[in-house]
Amino acid sequence: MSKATGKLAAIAAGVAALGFSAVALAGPSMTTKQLQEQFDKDVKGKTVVYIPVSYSVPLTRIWGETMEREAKALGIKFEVRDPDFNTQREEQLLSAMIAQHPDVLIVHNPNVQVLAPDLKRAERAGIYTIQVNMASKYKTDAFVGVQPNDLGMKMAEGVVAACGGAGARSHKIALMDGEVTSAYSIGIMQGATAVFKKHPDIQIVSNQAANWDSKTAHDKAATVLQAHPDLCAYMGWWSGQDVGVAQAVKQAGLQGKVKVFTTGGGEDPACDYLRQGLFYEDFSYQASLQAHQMMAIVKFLLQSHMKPGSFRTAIYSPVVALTKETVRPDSCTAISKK
Amino acid sequence: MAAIEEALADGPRATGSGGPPGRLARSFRRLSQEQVVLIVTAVLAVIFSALLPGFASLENLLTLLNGIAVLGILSLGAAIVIIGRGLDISQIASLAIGAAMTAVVMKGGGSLTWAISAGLLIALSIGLVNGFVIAFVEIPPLFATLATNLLVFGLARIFIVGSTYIVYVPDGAKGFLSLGGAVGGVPVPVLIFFGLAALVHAFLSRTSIGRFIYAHGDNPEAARLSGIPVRPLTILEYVLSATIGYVAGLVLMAMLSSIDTQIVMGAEIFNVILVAVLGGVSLVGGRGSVLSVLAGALLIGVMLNGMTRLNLSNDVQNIVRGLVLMAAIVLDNRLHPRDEETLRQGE
Repeated sequence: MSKATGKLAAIAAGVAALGFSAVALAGPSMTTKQLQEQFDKDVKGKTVVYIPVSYSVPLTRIWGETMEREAKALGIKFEVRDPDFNTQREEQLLSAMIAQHPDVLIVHNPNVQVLAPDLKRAERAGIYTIQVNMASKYKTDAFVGVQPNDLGMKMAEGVVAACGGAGARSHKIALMDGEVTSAYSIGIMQGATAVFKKHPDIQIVSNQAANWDSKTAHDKAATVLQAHPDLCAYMGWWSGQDVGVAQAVKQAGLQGKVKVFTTGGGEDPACDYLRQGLFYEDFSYQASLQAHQMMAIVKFLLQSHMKPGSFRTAIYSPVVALTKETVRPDSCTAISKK
Repeated sequence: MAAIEEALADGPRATGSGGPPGRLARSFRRLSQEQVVLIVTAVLAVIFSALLPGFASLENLLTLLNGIAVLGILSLGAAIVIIGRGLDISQIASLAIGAAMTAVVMKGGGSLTWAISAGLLIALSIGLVNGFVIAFVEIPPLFATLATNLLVFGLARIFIVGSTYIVYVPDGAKGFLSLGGAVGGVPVPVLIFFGLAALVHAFLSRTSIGRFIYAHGDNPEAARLSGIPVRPLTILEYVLSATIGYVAGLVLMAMLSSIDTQIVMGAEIFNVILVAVLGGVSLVGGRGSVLSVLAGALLIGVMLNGMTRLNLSNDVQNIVRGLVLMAAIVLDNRLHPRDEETLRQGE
């Protein structure tokens, strides 16, 4: 099935479902004015508090600034609390916020465990709670984010496409993990391993972790490139770290020969690196789109009048593969200076 | 290896009983710490060369040196301060914030000279404040430099860096980025490291101010009584440390074409101090030299390169690194047992 017919079929199915539900449920009939009044009553003046692991990471900035712009335009109060990579402080902030009782909480978990009891308390206190990208073991009203497993599969498929065929430079690839024990890394590794298993010709010559640090990634990649100058591709887990891999490839005089695959939310300088040919392919989960999705679910929850904690929904982020050819001016999101 | 064990077995007993130590043990006793570290490094290098084809190549040696250049440069600065019986936790702030300032000025369209002057100004200010607070207000260096580290990081985040912690070098800065390149196959960071090492060595061993720094670290009171201007000397030590930190920052930023200011809050400074102390720059002051820094950096470099090539996991790498460092320290402790002098200096 081609992409176009696939889309058509999906639209047709959606229309049919809508029509069907309209007949079956016959929701309250409403005029445009009443709909606007409902929105104003339920959404305007409500408070959303956003707690990322740190507010000085490009990714969390893109989320925060995009949500803030949308919230401002619609008359929603938007506040940010910044624990600055301090897990204990994040837990304290979340606790304090529950007492302050905003209408919606948007939480970015440092790991699967630490905020779970507080997330449960937030829901019990009647606060709609959304988690972004890194999920807690305790699921709340909504999760907006990337599926690491799926991301790992897509990246590995990209690597196989570049290094699997007869025309490839070699079948040797190297991996640059972030933090091996994070749920994100484990998911990516699982997805990627499933794909690589199906392609035994692909030879993984190195699998090292750089702890999300570009200098560590640079030094490790330089060493691996020295040992394997015929490498076909390097696959890393985060563009901010893989900048170091790309620089090592460039300094080894292998730019264009060793293809660097990376992923991220479309933050600087991923798009510049793509345009310069330093990154070969970036699997972007589009942070600004995620921000709009979070705001959409905020608006939906506020108008739904459902009891917080009474249902669970996942809004998985679509991943787009960006290359030098497909990167557009709006593929990456710029962040404000201050 | 058996010889070393024998020497170890003989060492402390010989001292304790006052009996005549074996000839081999005596010759080992005469080894300085940097020589011990160089021997450990050589043994490791031989093992890696046997295990890994291509490890013992010139290209790999240059890659290895390139990997430790920034750490080595920082340790040169740290060594000056530690030899003067000080400690500079804020050196990473000079590195990151000085470099970030340079990048910000370049981004704003400023010339390279202006960009480097602005960054250098920050590093000099950090050094001056540290030196003043330690020399005149007489705050212990650990606390003084810990405080300036936080202060500078906070101020920089508000006034220089902006909203996110990574600052990227503009693409147009080709001249600056060549600092991260190579000349005739030799990486520029390696050239800068060795050039700076030669300068610092000449300064510490051939100039009277350099010898004063040893005197200052060996016994500050005696140094003062013999007429050495100890307080201005302290300021000079911290200014040098900050300036060398800034040079490391420029090299690091050129290598990655970006600077991650979050490094200020990380544990990098402990690696820096470790390299110096490992090679024999004692925290009690007055001991060690540039050779100590070279030996310490080389050991770290060989371990990092070999273990990455062996594709060991980070956990295994940490275990091996911990064991080797422990072994080097234990070996030093047995070859150079504590004596009355080091005890008196509060070790």
